[in-house]
Amino acid sequence: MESNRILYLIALVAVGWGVTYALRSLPFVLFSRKARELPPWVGRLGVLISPVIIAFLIVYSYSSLEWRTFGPYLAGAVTVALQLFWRNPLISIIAGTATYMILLRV
Amino acid sequence: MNINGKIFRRAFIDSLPVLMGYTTMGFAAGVLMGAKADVPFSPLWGFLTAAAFVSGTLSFAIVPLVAQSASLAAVAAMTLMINFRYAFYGISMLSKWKTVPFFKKLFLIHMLTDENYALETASTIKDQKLYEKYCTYLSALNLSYWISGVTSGCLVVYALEKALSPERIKAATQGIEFAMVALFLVIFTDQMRGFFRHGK
Repeated sequence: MESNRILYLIALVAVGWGVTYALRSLPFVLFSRKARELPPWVGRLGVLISPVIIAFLIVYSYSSLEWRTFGPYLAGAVTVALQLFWRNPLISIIAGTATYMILLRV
Repeated sequence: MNINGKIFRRAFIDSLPVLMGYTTMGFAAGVLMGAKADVPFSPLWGFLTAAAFVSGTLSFAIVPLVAQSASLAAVAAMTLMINFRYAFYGISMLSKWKTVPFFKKLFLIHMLTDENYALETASTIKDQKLYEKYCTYLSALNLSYWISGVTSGCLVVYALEKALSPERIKAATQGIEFAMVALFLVIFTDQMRGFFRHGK
Protein backbone atom coordinates (compact mmCIF):
# COMPACT_ATOMS: atom_id res chain seq x y z
CA MET A 1 0.00 0.00 0.00
CA GLU A 2 2.56 2.53 1.14
CA SER A 3 5.06 1.54 -1.57
CA ASN A 4 2.30 1.82 -4.18
CA ARG A 5 1.63 5.34 -3.01
CA ILE A 6 5.31 6.21 -3.33
CA LEU A 7 5.46 4.76 -6.86
CA TYR A 8 2.38 6.81 -7.70
CA LEU A 9 4.00 9.97 -6.36
CA ILE A 10 7.17 9.35 -8.37
CA ALA A 11 5.11 8.74 -11.53
CA LEU A 12 3.22 11.95 -10.81
CA VAL A 13 6.41 14.03 -10.63
CA ALA A 14 7.61 12.37 -13.84
CA VAL A 15 4.36 13.16 -15.68
CA GLY A 16 4.25 16.77 -14.45
CA TRP A 17 7.89 17.31 -15.36
CA GLY A 18 7.60 15.48 -18.70
CA VAL A 19 4.62 17.49 -19.92
CA THR A 20 6.06 20.79 -18.67
CA TYR A 21 9.45 20.13 -20.27
CA ALA A 22 7.86 19.01 -23.54
CA LEU A 23 5.94 22.31 -23.68
CA ARG A 24 9.00 24.42 -22.87
CA SER A 25 11.12 22.67 -25.50
CA LEU A 26 8.45 22.53 -28.21
CA PRO A 27 9.64 25.53 -30.30
CA PHE A 28 13.24 24.29 -30.13
CA VAL A 29 12.16 20.91 -31.48
CA LEU A 30 9.77 22.27 -34.13
CA PHE A 31 11.91 25.09 -35.46
CA SER A 32 15.40 23.72 -34.96
CA ARG A 33 16.29 23.87 -38.66
CA LYS A 34 16.84 27.22 -40.29
CA ALA A 35 14.71 26.32 -43.31
CA ARG A 36 11.49 26.43 -41.34
CA GLU A 37 10.33 29.97 -40.89
CA LEU A 38 8.16 30.77 -37.92
CA PRO A 39 4.59 31.51 -39.06
CA PRO A 40 3.47 34.91 -37.70
CA TRP A 41 0.20 33.54 -36.33
CA VAL A 42 2.14 31.47 -33.79
CA GLY A 43 3.25 34.59 -31.94
CA ARG A 44 -0.22 36.16 -32.03
CA LEU A 45 -1.86 32.97 -30.83
CA GLY A 46 0.59 32.85 -27.94
CA VAL A 47 -0.48 36.29 -26.76
CA LEU A 48 -4.17 35.41 -26.98
CA ILE A 49 -4.28 31.89 -25.65
CA SER A 50 -2.76 32.44 -22.23
CA PRO A 51 -5.51 34.65 -20.71
CA VAL A 52 -8.19 32.35 -22.11
CA ILE A 53 -6.61 29.37 -20.36
CA ILE A 54 -6.17 31.27 -17.11
CA ALA A 55 -9.82 32.41 -17.22
CA PHE A 56 -10.88 28.81 -17.69
CA LEU A 57 -8.71 27.74 -14.75
CA ILE A 58 -10.33 30.38 -12.54
CA VAL A 59 -13.80 29.08 -13.31
CA TYR A 60 -12.64 25.50 -12.86
CA SER A 61 -10.95 26.12 -9.53
CA TYR A 62 -14.00 27.94 -8.14
CA SER A 63 -15.88 24.65 -8.40
CA SER A 64 -13.71 23.22 -5.60
CA LEU A 65 -14.47 26.18 -3.31
CA GLU A 66 -17.69 26.97 -1.41
CA TRP A 67 -19.04 28.48 -4.61
CA ARG A 68 -22.69 28.54 -3.49
CA THR A 69 -21.84 31.14 -0.86
CA PHE A 70 -20.70 34.70 -1.55
CA GLY A 71 -17.35 34.15 0.24
CA PRO A 72 -15.16 33.13 -2.73
CA TYR A 73 -16.55 35.96 -4.89
CA LEU A 74 -15.87 38.62 -2.28
CA ALA A 75 -12.38 37.18 -1.71
CA GLY A 76 -11.84 37.19 -5.48
CA ALA A 77 -12.94 40.83 -5.71
CA VAL A 78 -10.53 41.77 -2.91
CA THR A 79 -7.68 39.99 -4.75
CA VAL A 80 -8.37 41.65 -8.10
CA ALA A 81 -8.95 45.11 -6.59
CA LEU A 82 -5.67 44.98 -4.64
CA GLN A 83 -3.78 43.74 -7.71
CA LEU A 84 -5.26 46.54 -9.83
CA PHE A 85 -4.28 49.28 -7.42
CA TRP A 86 -1.25 47.96 -5.58
CA ARG A 87 0.32 45.59 -8.11
CA ASN A 88 1.94 43.44 -5.47
CA PRO A 89 0.99 39.80 -6.18
CA LEU A 90 1.91 38.64 -2.69
CA ILE A 91 -0.25 41.23 -0.91
CA SER A 92 -3.17 40.47 -3.25
CA ILE A 93 -2.92 36.72 -2.72
CA ILE A 94 -2.49 36.86 1.06
CA ALA A 95 -5.33 39.38 1.49
CA GLY A 96 -7.67 37.43 -0.79
CA THR A 97 -6.90 34.12 0.91
CA ALA A 98 -7.27 35.66 4.38
CA THR A 99 -10.66 37.09 3.35
CA TYR A 100 -11.81 33.66 2.21
CA MET A 101 -10.51 31.93 5.34
CA ILE A 102 -12.21 34.45 7.62
CA LEU A 103 -15.52 34.24 5.74
CA LEU A 104 -15.45 30.45 6.08
CA ARG A 105 -15.33 30.83 9.84
CA VAL A 106 -18.06 33.43 10.43
CA MET B 1 36.07 42.79 -10.66
CA ASN B 2 36.51 40.37 -13.56
CA ILE B 3 33.92 40.08 -16.31
CA ASN B 4 32.43 36.88 -14.86
CA GLY B 5 31.86 38.57 -11.54
CA LYS B 6 30.30 41.56 -13.26
CA ILE B 7 27.82 39.40 -15.15
CA PHE B 8 26.98 37.46 -12.01
CA ARG B 9 26.41 40.72 -10.15
CA ARG B 10 24.10 41.92 -12.88
CA ALA B 11 22.15 38.65 -12.86
CA PHE B 12 21.90 38.78 -9.07
CA ILE B 13 20.60 42.35 -8.98
CA ASP B 14 18.05 41.57 -11.70
CA SER B 15 16.99 38.46 -9.77
CA LEU B 16 16.17 40.35 -6.54
CA PRO B 17 12.47 40.90 -7.38
CA VAL B 18 12.30 37.23 -8.28
CA LEU B 19 13.92 36.40 -4.94
CA MET B 20 11.04 38.18 -3.19
CA GLY B 21 8.43 36.55 -5.40
CA TYR B 22 9.75 32.99 -5.50
CA THR B 23 10.60 32.60 -1.83
CA THR B 24 7.25 33.94 -0.63
CA MET B 25 5.14 32.30 -3.33
CA GLY B 26 7.16 29.11 -2.95
CA PHE B 27 6.65 29.26 0.80
CA ALA B 28 2.89 29.56 0.30
CA ALA B 29 2.91 26.60 -2.11
CA GLY B 30 5.00 24.63 0.39
CA VAL B 31 2.58 25.36 3.24
CA LEU B 32 -0.32 24.24 1.04
CA MET B 33 1.52 21.03 0.09
CA GLY B 34 2.41 20.29 3.69
CA ALA B 35 -1.13 20.92 4.90
CA LYS B 36 -3.17 19.33 2.11
CA ALA B 37 -1.15 17.09 -0.20
CA ASP B 38 -1.26 14.01 2.06
CA VAL B 39 2.22 12.70 1.18
CA PRO B 40 4.50 10.68 3.51
CA PHE B 41 7.28 13.31 3.89
CA SER B 42 6.19 16.64 2.48
CA PRO B 43 9.59 18.48 2.57
CA LEU B 44 11.10 15.90 0.18
CA TRP B 45 7.96 16.07 -1.97
CA GLY B 46 8.21 19.85 -2.01
CA PHE B 47 11.88 19.74 -2.95
CA LEU B 48 11.33 17.24 -5.79
CA THR B 49 8.31 18.97 -7.30
CA ALA B 50 9.94 22.40 -7.01
CA ALA B 51 13.09 21.20 -8.81
CA ALA B 52 11.19 19.19 -11.44
CA PHE B 53 8.33 21.56 -12.32
CA VAL B 54 9.75 25.04 -11.61
CA SER B 55 6.16 26.14 -12.13
CA GLY B 56 4.31 27.92 -9.36
CA THR B 57 0.89 27.36 -10.83
CA LEU B 58 1.48 23.64 -11.21
CA SER B 59 2.88 23.39 -7.68
CA PHE B 60 -0.41 24.78 -6.34
CA ALA B 61 -2.65 22.88 -8.74
CA ILE B 62 -1.01 19.52 -8.10
CA VAL B 63 -1.95 19.55 -4.41
CA PRO B 64 -5.66 18.64 -4.71
CA LEU B 65 -4.80 16.10 -7.44
CA VAL B 66 -2.32 14.31 -5.17
CA ALA B 67 -4.74 14.40 -2.26
CA GLN B 68 -7.46 12.74 -4.37
CA SER B 69 -4.95 10.31 -5.96
CA ALA B 70 -6.05 11.60 -9.37
CA SER B 71 -5.14 9.50 -12.42
CA LEU B 72 -1.86 10.23 -14.21
CA ALA B 73 -3.87 11.15 -17.31
CA ALA B 74 -5.72 13.80 -15.29
CA VAL B 75 -2.39 15.13 -14.01
CA ALA B 76 -1.02 15.25 -17.57
CA ALA B 77 -4.15 17.08 -18.82
CA MET B 78 -4.00 19.59 -15.96
CA THR B 79 -0.29 20.21 -16.56
CA LEU B 80 -0.87 20.67 -20.28
CA MET B 81 -3.56 23.27 -19.65
CA ILE B 82 -1.81 25.19 -16.91
CA ASN B 83 1.58 25.32 -18.61
CA PHE B 84 0.48 25.66 -22.21
CA ARG B 85 1.81 29.21 -22.37
CA TYR B 86 5.38 27.90 -21.92
CA ALA B 87 5.20 26.44 -25.43
CA PHE B 88 5.30 30.01 -26.77
CA TYR B 89 8.19 31.32 -24.68
CA GLY B 90 10.83 29.34 -26.54
CA ILE B 91 9.89 31.09 -29.78
CA SER B 92 11.48 34.32 -28.55
CA MET B 93 14.58 32.46 -27.37
CA LEU B 94 15.27 30.51 -30.58
CA SER B 95 17.63 33.08 -32.06
CA LYS B 96 18.96 34.33 -28.72
CA TRP B 97 20.09 30.86 -27.66
CA LYS B 98 21.27 29.67 -31.07
CA THR B 99 24.90 29.30 -29.98
CA VAL B 100 24.28 27.92 -26.47
CA PRO B 101 25.86 24.45 -26.01
CA PHE B 102 23.40 21.54 -25.93
CA PHE B 103 23.38 20.63 -22.23
CA LYS B 104 23.36 24.23 -21.07
CA LYS B 105 20.41 24.83 -23.37
CA LEU B 106 18.57 21.88 -21.82
CA PHE B 107 18.94 23.57 -18.44
CA LEU B 108 17.88 26.99 -19.73
CA ILE B 109 14.77 25.39 -21.29
CA HIS B 110 13.99 23.64 -18.00
CA MET B 111 14.11 27.05 -16.31
CA LEU B 112 11.95 28.89 -18.87
CA THR B 113 9.52 30.32 -16.30
CA ASP B 114 7.44 33.51 -16.61
CA GLU B 115 10.05 35.44 -14.64
CA ASN B 116 13.15 34.09 -16.40
CA TYR B 117 11.48 34.63 -19.76
CA ALA B 118 10.67 38.23 -18.89
CA LEU B 119 14.20 39.03 -17.69
CA GLU B 120 15.98 37.15 -20.47
CA THR B 121 14.02 38.84 -23.24
CA ALA B 122 14.40 42.26 -21.59
CA SER B 123 18.16 42.00 -21.11
CA THR B 124 20.24 44.53 -23.04
CA ILE B 125 23.52 42.56 -22.99
CA LYS B 126 24.85 42.66 -26.53
CA ASP B 127 27.79 40.21 -26.32
CA GLN B 128 26.48 36.70 -27.03
CA LYS B 129 28.89 34.84 -24.71
CA LEU B 130 28.11 37.20 -21.83
CA TYR B 131 24.40 36.95 -22.51
CA GLU B 132 24.58 33.15 -22.25
CA LYS B 133 26.44 33.45 -18.94
CA TYR B 134 23.82 35.91 -17.74
CA CYS B 135 20.97 33.52 -18.59
CA THR B 136 22.73 30.63 -16.86
CA TYR B 137 23.44 32.58 -13.65
CA LEU B 138 19.93 33.97 -13.59
CA SER B 139 18.38 30.52 -14.05
CA ALA B 140 20.55 28.95 -11.35
CA LEU B 141 19.80 31.77 -8.88
CA ASN B 142 16.07 31.68 -9.49
CA LEU B 143 15.97 27.89 -9.23
CA SER B 144 17.65 28.09 -5.83
CA TYR B 145 15.11 30.70 -4.63
CA TRP B 146 12.17 28.61 -5.77
CA ILE B 147 13.42 25.37 -4.21
CA SER B 148 14.25 27.11 -0.90
CA GLY B 149 10.83 28.73 -0.77
CA VAL B 150 8.81 25.58 -1.38
CA THR B 151 10.94 23.31 0.81
CA SER B 152 10.93 25.71 3.75
CA GLY B 153 7.14 26.07 3.52
CA CYS B 154 6.80 22.28 3.72
CA LEU B 155 9.31 22.09 6.57
CA VAL B 156 7.41 24.62 8.68
CA VAL B 157 4.14 22.70 8.34
CA TYR B 158 5.94 19.40 8.93
CA ALA B 159 7.50 20.71 12.13
CA LEU B 160 4.17 22.14 13.31
CA GLU B 161 2.45 18.85 12.60
CA LYS B 162 4.91 17.10 14.91
CA ALA B 163 4.12 19.62 17.65
CA LEU B 164 0.36 19.96 17.12
CA SER B 165 -2.18 17.38 16.00
CA PRO B 166 -2.79 17.00 12.24
CA GLU B 167 -6.51 17.69 12.80
CA ARG B 168 -5.75 21.06 14.35
CA ILE B 169 -3.49 21.94 11.42
CA LYS B 170 -6.21 20.86 8.98
CA ALA B 171 -8.82 22.95 10.79
CA ALA B 172 -6.52 25.96 11.04
CA THR B 173 -5.55 25.88 7.35
CA GLN B 174 -9.09 25.35 6.06
CA GLY B 175 -9.64 27.76 3.17
CA ILE B 176 -5.94 28.15 2.35
CA GLU B 177 -6.70 26.51 -1.00
CA PHE B 178 -7.98 29.90 -2.13
CA ALA B 179 -4.31 30.90 -2.58
CA MET B 180 -4.24 29.08 -5.92
CA VAL B 181 -7.38 30.81 -7.19
CA ALA B 182 -5.91 34.12 -6.02
CA LEU B 183 -2.74 33.38 -7.99
CA PHE B 184 -4.80 32.78 -11.14
CA LEU B 185 -6.76 35.98 -10.53
CA VAL B 186 -3.55 37.97 -10.13
CA ILE B 187 -2.09 36.55 -13.35
CA PHE B 188 -5.35 37.27 -15.18
CA THR B 189 -5.57 40.82 -13.83
CA ASP B 190 -2.01 41.56 -15.00
CA GLN B 191 -2.70 40.03 -18.40
CA MET B 192 -5.78 42.21 -18.81
CA ARG B 193 -3.80 45.27 -17.77
CA GLY B 194 -1.24 44.47 -20.46
CA PHE B 195 -4.00 43.93 -23.01
CA PHE B 196 -5.65 47.26 -22.44
CA ARG B 197 -2.37 49.13 -22.22
CA HIS B 198 -0.96 47.85 -25.50
CA GLY B 199 -4.29 47.44 -27.25
CA LYS B 200 -3.35 43.92 -28.27
